[in-house]
Amino acid sequence: MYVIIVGGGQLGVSLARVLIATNLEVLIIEKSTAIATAISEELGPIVLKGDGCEVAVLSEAGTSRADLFVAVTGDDADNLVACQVAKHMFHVPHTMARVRDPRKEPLFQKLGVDTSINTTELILERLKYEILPHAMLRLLRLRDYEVTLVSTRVPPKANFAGRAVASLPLPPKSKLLLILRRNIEPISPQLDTIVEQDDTLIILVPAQDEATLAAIFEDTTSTSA
Amino acid sequence: MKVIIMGCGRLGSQLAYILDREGYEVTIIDIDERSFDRLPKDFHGSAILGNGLDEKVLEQAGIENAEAFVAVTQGDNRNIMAAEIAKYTYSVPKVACRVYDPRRSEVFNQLGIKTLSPTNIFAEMLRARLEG
Repeated sequence: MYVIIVGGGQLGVSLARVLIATNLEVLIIEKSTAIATAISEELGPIVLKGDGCEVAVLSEAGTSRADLFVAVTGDDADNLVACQVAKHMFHVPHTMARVRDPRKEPLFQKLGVDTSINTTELILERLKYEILPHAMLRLLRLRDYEVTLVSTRVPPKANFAGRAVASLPLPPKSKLLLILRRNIEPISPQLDTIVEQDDTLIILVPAQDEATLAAIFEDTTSTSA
Repeated sequence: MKVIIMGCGRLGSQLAYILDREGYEVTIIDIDERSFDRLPKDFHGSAILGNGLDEKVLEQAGIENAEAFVAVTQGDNRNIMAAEIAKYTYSVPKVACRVYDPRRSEVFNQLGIKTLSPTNIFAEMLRARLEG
């Protein structure tokens, strides 16, 4: 499998290390001579110095035989355009792009980027979870199935704390997969399992019901700082 | 007819000047306030300071009822992305942008974004001049 990575920043290089370790063929395209040189000193001759949006550079990179094209520069426009050129001119079967502005994600999807990863949203989720311990954390979005895997905690004084799983007011078609409780083994929930305050619940929820689920577990006792 | 121009460089300001004189309702966007100095003193349109890739700025410029959108910043990819936002997010009827790289320009033309490559246009004009 041949993977082309556009952008030799922290993200691009870390991804290259992972892929090289699994014996995939990797090429990084990087604009800056200094950065390109530094990468080749560490990882060997797997760097092409150039603009990953330019047709000539992509031809030289052998983009038409690439299986996967990943654009992870810090610039949304560069990532979008690189993926569109790879997809439409070189027919790369799968393109992935990093998106920084969350509002741009629908555009990326509409324009044929197969997988768009919104890094701002990912980091925001983590920060929110660290700062507001009862906030819902999106663990994984499975777009093909339109579902999201989330982690959420039972807030103090929730009216369903101390009651059975069956009485949890979850949105239809969502599924409670696991209950995590301190100092004991993870619990595979049954309908009569009792949910306790501060339990962490791992739930699969239809993407459209994420907000509804978040509202159910909202901690109404804590005052926001 | 309402026209939005992104990028108030030499080309953007000149286009704004021409369209304004012809009676179009022109709004020009640029991230550099000093770039608006290029507009003539008697320019009737509006100048908006901000990033033309930002939906808030585009909406402030009135993109929702614009008839045409032109992206002529120095960045090929910014121009392409802005044109795509105008076309696909806001369904602006007429969208055009400048793309210096002739081959990139061709790819996006095929994808339905009206791109103009000054590099190509001038190369052909110069060739014609040499032949003539």
